[in-house]
Amino acid sequence: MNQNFKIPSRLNLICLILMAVGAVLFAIGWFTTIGEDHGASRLWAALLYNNFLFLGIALIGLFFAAVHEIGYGGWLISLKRVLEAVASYIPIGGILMLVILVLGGHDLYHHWDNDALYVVDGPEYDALVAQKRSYLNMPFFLIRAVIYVVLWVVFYLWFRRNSLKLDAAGDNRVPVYKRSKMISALFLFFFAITSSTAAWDWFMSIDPHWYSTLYGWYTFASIFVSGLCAVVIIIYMLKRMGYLEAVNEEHMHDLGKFIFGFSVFWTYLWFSQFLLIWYANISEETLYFKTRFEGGYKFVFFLAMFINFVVPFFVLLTRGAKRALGTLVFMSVLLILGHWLDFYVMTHPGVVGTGAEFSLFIEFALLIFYVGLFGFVVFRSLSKAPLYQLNHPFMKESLIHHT
Amino acid sequence: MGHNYSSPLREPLITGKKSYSDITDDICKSTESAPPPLWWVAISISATLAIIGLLAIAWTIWQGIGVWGLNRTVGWAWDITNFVWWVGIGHAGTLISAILLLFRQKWRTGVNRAAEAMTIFAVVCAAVFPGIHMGRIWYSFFIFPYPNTRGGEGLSSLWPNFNSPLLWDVFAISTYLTVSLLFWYSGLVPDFATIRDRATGIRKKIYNVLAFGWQGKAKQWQRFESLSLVLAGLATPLVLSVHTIVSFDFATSVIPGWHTTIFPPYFVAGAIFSGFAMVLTLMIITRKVLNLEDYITIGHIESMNKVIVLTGSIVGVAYITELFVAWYSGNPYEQWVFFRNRIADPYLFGPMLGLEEGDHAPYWWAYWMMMTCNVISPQFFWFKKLRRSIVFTFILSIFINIGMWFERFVIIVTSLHRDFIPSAWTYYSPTIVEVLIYTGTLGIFFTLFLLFARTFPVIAIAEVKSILKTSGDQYVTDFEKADDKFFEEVESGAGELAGGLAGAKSYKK
Repeated sequence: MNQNFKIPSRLNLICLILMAVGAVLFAIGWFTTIGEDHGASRLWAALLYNNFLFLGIALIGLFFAAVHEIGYGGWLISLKRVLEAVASYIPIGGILMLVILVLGGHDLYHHWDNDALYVVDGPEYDALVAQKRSYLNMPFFLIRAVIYVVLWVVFYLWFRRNSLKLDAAGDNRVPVYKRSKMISALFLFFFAITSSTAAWDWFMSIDPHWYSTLYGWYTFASIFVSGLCAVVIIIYMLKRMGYLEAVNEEHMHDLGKFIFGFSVFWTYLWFSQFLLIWYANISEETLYFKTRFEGGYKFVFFLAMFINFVVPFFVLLTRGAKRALGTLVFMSVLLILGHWLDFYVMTHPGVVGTGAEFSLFIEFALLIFYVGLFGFVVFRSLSKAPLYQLNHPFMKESLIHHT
Repeated sequence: MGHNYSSPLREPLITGKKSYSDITDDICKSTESAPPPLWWVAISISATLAIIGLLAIAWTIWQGIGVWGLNRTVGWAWDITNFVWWVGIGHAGTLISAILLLFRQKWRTGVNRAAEAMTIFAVVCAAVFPGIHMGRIWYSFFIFPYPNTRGGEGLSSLWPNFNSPLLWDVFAISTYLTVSLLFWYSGLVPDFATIRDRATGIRKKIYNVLAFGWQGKAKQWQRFESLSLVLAGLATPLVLSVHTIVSFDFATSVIPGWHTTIFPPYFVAGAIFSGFAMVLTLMIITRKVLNLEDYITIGHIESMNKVIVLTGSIVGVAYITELFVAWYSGNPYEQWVFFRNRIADPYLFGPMLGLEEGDHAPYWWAYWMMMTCNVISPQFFWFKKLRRSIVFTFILSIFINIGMWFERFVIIVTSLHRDFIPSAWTYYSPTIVEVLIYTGTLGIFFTLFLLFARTFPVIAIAEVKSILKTSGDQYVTDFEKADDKFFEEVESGAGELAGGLAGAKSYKK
């Protein structure tokens, strides 16, 4: 078994080229768009949702590893290092998130700066926004963002350090493993709260009048599916390069089941939120969907639904499809794009307000950039530790795993 | 399966070094001996409660639902609370048999049979309430859509309102009952055959009929396995759909406190939470009384307690989300429902909200009962010692049963009792008839369970046997000894591991 992953120089180069191309394209987009009406808002909106998608994927890497750690998930251990590598993007994604919120917040969350909204009896007084100002104000918003990011980064570093300790622990593996369970439980506790509150802050508060209790869990389901898809893609790339032979179609089948099941779960939440708001028909709530049914957003809105539910439901329903690596990778790429579109529809209408538009120099440029950056970080992390955690007490279960 | 290996860190799920025949003997015993005196005492009490409950139902039908405490403001209260509570309890069985099967949780084999039975009995109890709430129960068949001649011919006949979530409920719950019943019964067939093969005389005949003449042929097992898989596939979405649709009964409305988008998944989590609490309550007694401690071990109880802490915490996050968003919404009615009608107790939160004495929420005690039992109490299960304490688990399971009843009471009654116009404000309290109907359903539930425990195999014999080689305590060896050899093989790239890798099909490069 080949334990040591060396990044092929070509892969590194591809990642760097993607980053460079994305950055150059985005720079062109920046300078041509910034002067337009809503130009700055559009640029920051694109940065916000692209950055969050990849940060979310990274968080799911840690989440999925942690869930299996406390749940005796033995089958997964041979690909645990891939999950850790995905999670290694958390610090960079988190810091970039903070940068985007600090520099772009004024263009994203328009209620921050518009003091007229808060002048009682003023012409623009907005009672709804004014009453929640104690929560939705810039300083508190940024403090919360820092808390989320710090918590996530600390838990990633702690989890990873303990994981490397397990490699070196020799026969003393059980106590180190138990510690890892404790770290996982703590992370899951905090993540259960911060995954929702971060979604409220960063996305729901774009439309400060609108609210939906399900929003946090809906966002979680989106990143969960995307995260699993990213894991599948990275495993595929490693296998193409001749690594990770212990991860076979049994493991991929299980990942496929998760992608299938949670695509349905995502749809369940999508439908619950939509149906209840549509059925009750309260104007404070329907305004969210109303804006998404106008100006070309409607097509994107339903396209995302189609890609994220209809396609995986029919394609991944059979056992054979989940065990065919090619099909699974194709679906993974498609689903990440589908959730990318979904995040676009969550962000763009509220921030920019005008019709849907995609530009090679803005939205796609950032997608290219982030794919390069994410790949660069993840493969670097993979090269830093053995590809298998042989000392893990459940490693053997994973190696002889059979569904 | 091929490999019988499982990590030695996994706790054995069958203790006492059982052989296959020990398993058959131990589980069949309760169906082959006369019930102990305590059983007669228990069934007398529960049957009496059931009969009193049936009399109270008869009284309700005779007199009309005016004998309940409902009024013009609070039109749903005790009855629908009980309905949702029972449906919720009916969730653990299917979760254990379908979803835990997909997640390969071997411990499910110790409790699935009893949990599935409990599911069916709970759904039966639940079905009582919407039926008798209709008032004119003799028209209850109107809820089923079928070509009818009511009010005209063909398409002009009277159909139920397909836009109504109450009708969706009828579909959801009857589907759920059907699939759960099929799942439960098909699993019982081989076990009935096992009992039959040991029985004589009339018992043999009865169990032979129940077992559909099962002979254990390879073909029969093959069909049995296919059927189980299909039913598990059907049952998985049902676990989510039933309580989702129950939540739609409330959430599709525009009533503050009912209309909130988190309801569907939060109701499902709450249902699983309450279902597991009831499974724990029942199984802690059953394992003791029927001497099944070797099959329903402390490990099983700990696993269930982990489900409790998970689902309890999901429910807790949902409560806090609802509360926060009620404030965040800026909607004064939402805020009123949560802060003035639920939270504001006379001692702490009422004064903190600036309320004068006597201005507190009438049902504050129900809200805080719910919060204490459902959110705070399961947090104790973060501690392994408490998860593995039988006494503590039993007490807590009762707490959760109570808390989940109060959750539904809080949702239903506190959202209704203060209508938009203060002149319509009322206070609801149940009448003795309603209380007796509720205790009557408890009586029905326990009567059915007690009968089940003496006539049916309480544990799935065939399924427990399937995990003996991986999870029997005689097969689980000391961790370090078992794995030293394995890790040596890993390093040399030979032996069992190499065989294992070659055996599993790997992708071509």
